Amino acid sequence: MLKYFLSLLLVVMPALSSAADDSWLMIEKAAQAAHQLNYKGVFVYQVANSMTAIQITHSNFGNSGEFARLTVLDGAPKEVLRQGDDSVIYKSKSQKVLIEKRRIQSGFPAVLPKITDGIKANYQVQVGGIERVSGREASVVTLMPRDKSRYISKLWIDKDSGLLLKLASLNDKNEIVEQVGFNQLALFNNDNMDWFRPNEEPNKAYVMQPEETVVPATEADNWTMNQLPQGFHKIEQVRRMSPFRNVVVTHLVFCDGLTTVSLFFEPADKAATRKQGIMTQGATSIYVTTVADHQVVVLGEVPPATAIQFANAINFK
Amino acid sequence: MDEMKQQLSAMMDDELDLDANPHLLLAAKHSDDIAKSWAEYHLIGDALRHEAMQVDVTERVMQQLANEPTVLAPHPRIKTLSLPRYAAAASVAAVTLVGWMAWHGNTTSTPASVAQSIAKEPVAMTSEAFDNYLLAHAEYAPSNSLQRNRDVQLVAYSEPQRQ
Repeated sequence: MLKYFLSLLLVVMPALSSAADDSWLMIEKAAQAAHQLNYKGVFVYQVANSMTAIQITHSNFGNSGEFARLTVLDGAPKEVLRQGDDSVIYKSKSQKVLIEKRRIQSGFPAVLPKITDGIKANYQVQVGGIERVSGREASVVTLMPRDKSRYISKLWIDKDSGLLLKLASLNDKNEIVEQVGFNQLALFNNDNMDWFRPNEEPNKAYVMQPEETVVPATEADNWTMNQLPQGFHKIEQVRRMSPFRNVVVTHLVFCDGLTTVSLFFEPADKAATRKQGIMTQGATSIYVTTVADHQVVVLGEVPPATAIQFANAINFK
Repeated sequence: MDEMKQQLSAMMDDELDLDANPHLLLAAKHSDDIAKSWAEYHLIGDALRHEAMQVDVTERVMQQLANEPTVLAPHPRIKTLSLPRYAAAASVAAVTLVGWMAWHGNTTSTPASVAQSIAKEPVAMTSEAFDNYLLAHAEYAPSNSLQRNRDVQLVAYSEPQRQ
């Protein structure tokens, strides 16, 4: 464990040239701390008028990697056991427990990005004051977008451990649309792994959900993208079978260095009524529309108007 | 089920990493015909504490079985069937409306300028469909972007409350 603290120190030590550099560095350090430290606590995820408390235990065992267990404390019982990039989700139903394996890279508080030129081009960093979060002193850092097509991110970073304590997404009126933050946090330093197991329900059957097969998509020739919202670039393109009907869904992923937007399209179901509309859930917007006989779904952590811009940018030949 | 058995047998042959597939063990424990291949969960912790040590899984599983009282205890026989996804979707269709309405209740207001440019009707998306889009989005988001609250969303919000 000591070596991680030392490596963290090395990151912070060099003389800093400006307050902005200082803040970028603080974000980078928080990103590392979330992966490298051992901690347990309870954080609350708050969106619109609902709140969910989640218990987390996280350990890093060096060569053996990272382990985390998340238990949802409110509502339907669910757990996530995560090792490295693999997450196994246990959803408890009345008669059975569904086991689903997913490739989710990480979660709160390990949510911060690598600092790239892309981020710096699209966001300005602003240093705030010191605020208290879950009984700890936190430095406030704000990532202010250079235009209104993305949300403001506000970070509360523990002065002591460097961990991200709280993260909020704000709209252009400075209203919080979604936030997640610890209300209990403790760091620990031992190798005990007894906690890395799901809660067992002996009377229930455990059923594994089939894993999806996804293939990389070659550049398709039946569509093109027009002007995207400023700063977004396509970073991934895959194809998968629709879980609902026998059609191929193409999935495009766009990123501005910080924020990600997915665009899915598939041939429209001729029999079904055409659907169009927008939903938001916290910072996530989902826009469904039909473009030239294709059903298009845009989903991302952007304001609704930006999601619509993405849908409008696609052209089918 | 067959796929799981194959994975289990691969695990027994040391082809599959025990640490990386703890869910297989749990699945095995709760399905009768492969219950005998169950190795207790604390094997994982154990293996971690001796991280440099090569673990002979087969031997450990056998040893564990010998010491494992719960395997000998009466065990309710529940038939596990992995339904094809479309069957699950069909059953979800019945709760679509409720799912949507529950979700809609949590929806924040849409800015007026946006509302004008789109249809007024809500999107008729089932909670299962929403699950799938959200999961796909979460899986393909790059690690160098702000992950927001992806896995939190998955556990907290992948299913709107169904009445």
